[in-house]
Amino acid sequence: MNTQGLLDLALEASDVSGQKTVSVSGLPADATVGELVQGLLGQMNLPQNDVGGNPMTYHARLEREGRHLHASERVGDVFQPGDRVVLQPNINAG
Amino acid sequence: MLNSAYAYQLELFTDDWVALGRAILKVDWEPAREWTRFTAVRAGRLPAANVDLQTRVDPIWHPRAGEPYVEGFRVAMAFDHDMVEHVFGIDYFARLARRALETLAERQGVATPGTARYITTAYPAPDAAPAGKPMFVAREIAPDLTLEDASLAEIAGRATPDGEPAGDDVPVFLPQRVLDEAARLTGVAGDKETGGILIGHVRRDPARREIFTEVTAQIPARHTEADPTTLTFTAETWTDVRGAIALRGRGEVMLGWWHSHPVQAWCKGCEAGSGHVCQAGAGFLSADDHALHRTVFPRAYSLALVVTDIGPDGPAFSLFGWREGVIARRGFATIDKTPDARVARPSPEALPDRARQERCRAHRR
Repeated sequence: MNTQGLLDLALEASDVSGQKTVSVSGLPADATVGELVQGLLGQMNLPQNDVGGNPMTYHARLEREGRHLHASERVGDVFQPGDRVVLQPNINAG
Repeated sequence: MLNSAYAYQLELFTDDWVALGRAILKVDWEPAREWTRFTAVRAGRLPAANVDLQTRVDPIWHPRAGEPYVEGFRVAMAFDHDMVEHVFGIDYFARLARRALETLAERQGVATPGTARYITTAYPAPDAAPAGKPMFVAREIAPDLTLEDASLAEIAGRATPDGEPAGDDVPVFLPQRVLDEAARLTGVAGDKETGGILIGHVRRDPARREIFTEVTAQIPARHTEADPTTLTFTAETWTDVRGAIALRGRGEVMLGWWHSHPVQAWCKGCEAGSGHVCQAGAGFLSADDHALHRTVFPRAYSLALVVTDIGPDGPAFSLFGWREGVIARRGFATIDKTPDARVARPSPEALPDRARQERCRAHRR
């Protein structure tokens, strides 16, 4: 699973509506889920701040296990081939 | 990948062209990129599965003033050995201009002008600091979206046009049943906002080469936090909705969302005279609503429905969607419409007086 520190498996990530999906590669096995989420927000062009400029909270939901991953978990410990994570924000309507 | 070699700036003026100040723009190009892609898909020039396209944004200089004055911009996307492009006007920057105006007014300690003028300029930005090397590579792949063939004429035959004229918008079909459910939930929520997710299909009519969307159901948003002016969709809300879609097993996708505006609660004790038409009753999207739509529903076909409980005659419905990369009010067609359904319409000739607007704004904060 782990080759030269990189996660050697296919991983997909999508936004919450499923309208935008990316294939992730070259992910360091010792990266945290929090780092994965932050990287995904930038590369998927998802807003990182709310209207007031405050950081938005996104949860990474691992579909296979049906749970929200903790930001401190290591990606090398949690992901398996074919896994899919969904970025789920806490977000306000007004 | 999107490349823009220019930095954009706004010069703000009063209606009488008195300079107010300048603002550097942090432009979100993603809606323009998506609109360009979708327009090409709709025209049959680009397969729907093509999403990870090299994209370039260039300013279009004003024909008389020339560089650096911007009349619009062009988005060009390369695929295979071809290219698609779309031209946008400076209306794309209108919301940024409004925000810049508010920031400027706040900094100067003055009231934000109701209206203002702005000029957009662009300057080469070759020295812009390159983004740090990403920790990993994320390549966009085609989403789980199937453009199912269906007859536009057949569904249009069962539907009644509502709201603003559709123009060149992608046709949208909403069942009366969904509107009724949203109205009922709005009533049940009372003084608090409520909402849900619109699900259905994006379809293509092969005979007319047109794409249209058909909403098939709404899924009430659970695990939310609500008060009279805010509705928070939590991570659990999305888990619940995705589970419901999977359980239905009909291949539906999230087409958009809806939420209520309990205007009757906002306007309790309103001192406006009889005959006054409240602006809030027309249905609108707040800054938070715009941000939510951009975050969760970035695709060009995505929808936002507002249910406004404007009075004893029942709620009214306003639909919004993407048009030219910005969120705009749009029309729709109601399937199996009942005679007494209402659609909210803006009434600019009957806006509240200034004091009333201030009061409404204060309440909505």
